[in-house]
Amino acid sequence: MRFGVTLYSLTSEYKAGKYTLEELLSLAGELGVGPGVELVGFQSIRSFPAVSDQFARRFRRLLDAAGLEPTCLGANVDIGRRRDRLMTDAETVDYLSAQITAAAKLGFPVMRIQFGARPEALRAIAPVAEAAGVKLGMEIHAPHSVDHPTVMAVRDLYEEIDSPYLGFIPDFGASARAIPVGAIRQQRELGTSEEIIDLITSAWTAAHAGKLDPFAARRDLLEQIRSSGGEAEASAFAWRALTLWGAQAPERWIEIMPRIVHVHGKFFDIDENGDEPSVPYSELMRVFGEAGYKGTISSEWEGSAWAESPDGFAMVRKHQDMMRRYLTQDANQVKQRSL
Amino acid sequence: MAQVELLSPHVGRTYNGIELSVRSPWYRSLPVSCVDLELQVDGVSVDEARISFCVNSHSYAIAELGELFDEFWFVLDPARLRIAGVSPGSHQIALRLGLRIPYLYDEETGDVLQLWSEAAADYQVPEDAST
Repeated sequence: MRFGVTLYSLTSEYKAGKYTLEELLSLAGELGVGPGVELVGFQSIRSFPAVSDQFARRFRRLLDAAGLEPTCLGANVDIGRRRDRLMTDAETVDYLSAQITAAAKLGFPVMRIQFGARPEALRAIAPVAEAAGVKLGMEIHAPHSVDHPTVMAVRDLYEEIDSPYLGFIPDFGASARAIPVGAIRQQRELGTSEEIIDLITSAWTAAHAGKLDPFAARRDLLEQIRSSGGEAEASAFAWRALTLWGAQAPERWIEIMPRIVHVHGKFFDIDENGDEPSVPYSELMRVFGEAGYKGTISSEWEGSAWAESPDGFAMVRKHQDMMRRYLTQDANQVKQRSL
Repeated sequence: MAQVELLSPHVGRTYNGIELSVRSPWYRSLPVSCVDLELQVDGVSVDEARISFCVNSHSYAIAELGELFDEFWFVLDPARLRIAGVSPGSHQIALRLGLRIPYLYDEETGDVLQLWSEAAADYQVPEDAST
């Protein structure tokens, strides 16, 4: 198992103009948060999905100089980019092909895709990915989980095609144990009433008790908030609550383990003990460690919206220290058991 | 979500109005077709025919934005908003910016998530400085 960083963790600093892409890459090398580097094409590259030869050369030189390795390019499946209709499967294939070309040119072995790429689009894109030598990883992000019908349809297709170029990328936010406390605190500060916060946290708990389809739960909750006179902020929070944080049991990732090509180590906060209060990393590390996962876990911090002074690199370091600590503990326990 | 101020504090004059800078509150570039906006000057809604949205060195009418699904608003670039018919002097400008997030949709209904952000600021529009 290897660690890495996604530059998404540095969104706040990047958008504020504190660091350029070049500076983020050199800093990632200096601070030792690699060796893996992931980025979102539509965040870090102005011309994306077009990438000039000159940009690609400069990018590869920067990575070499920083001692970093490209792990995963975050592509987007912008199925709703037209106002009148969703993209067709053929349009999705074209949209993704351009991004696969960019991934290959920049040296990324894996490209993250999203569930807007439906099974028939995946069937058509597989040979394109294979020809480019880029593995596609369908991100499983809350509110999806390994057994959601949408994900099951993709799993069935993968079984049928059985291509090493089609895989999954778990996002650990799908295995949260609670809505992050910082997110709730921020919502209170924005003036959302306790009544609405209760409504949202109860809906989260109910949705994740496994009784309700999370998408249906989200629609119901948004309707309830509208009828209780909730403001746009409250609706946005409700949407995020049932979208960013899922509660799939960590061991259920085992079902798709052979097809996992990369992992988004999503985290929100690291407490004073060095632990993530809302995501069960000790279980996640045990599950992935015992399964012998050989790929990269990218540290993906998504707490900058409620951090007082966001320092993505410091957070990523703490996150990687935590993951390393759990892996070492697990390895020691195995050693003790075998003595 | 907002990590930068939506509206820049600077205002410029154009030949028939004013120009302001707007930053995207989202973390990545989005197709221009995903942008909606509503403006008020001194509490009065501005007819969209008086507004243009400028990115990538092009100026677009609001009515054109919906068709621009192959053009991207880069996440670090301020877009410039030109509002015709605003005179020099002090004005309050209020902006509602709607962003459709084109990969976040409800599989059953096909609804695409739309997020609205709001900002308002007071501006002193100079008599003669033009941009």
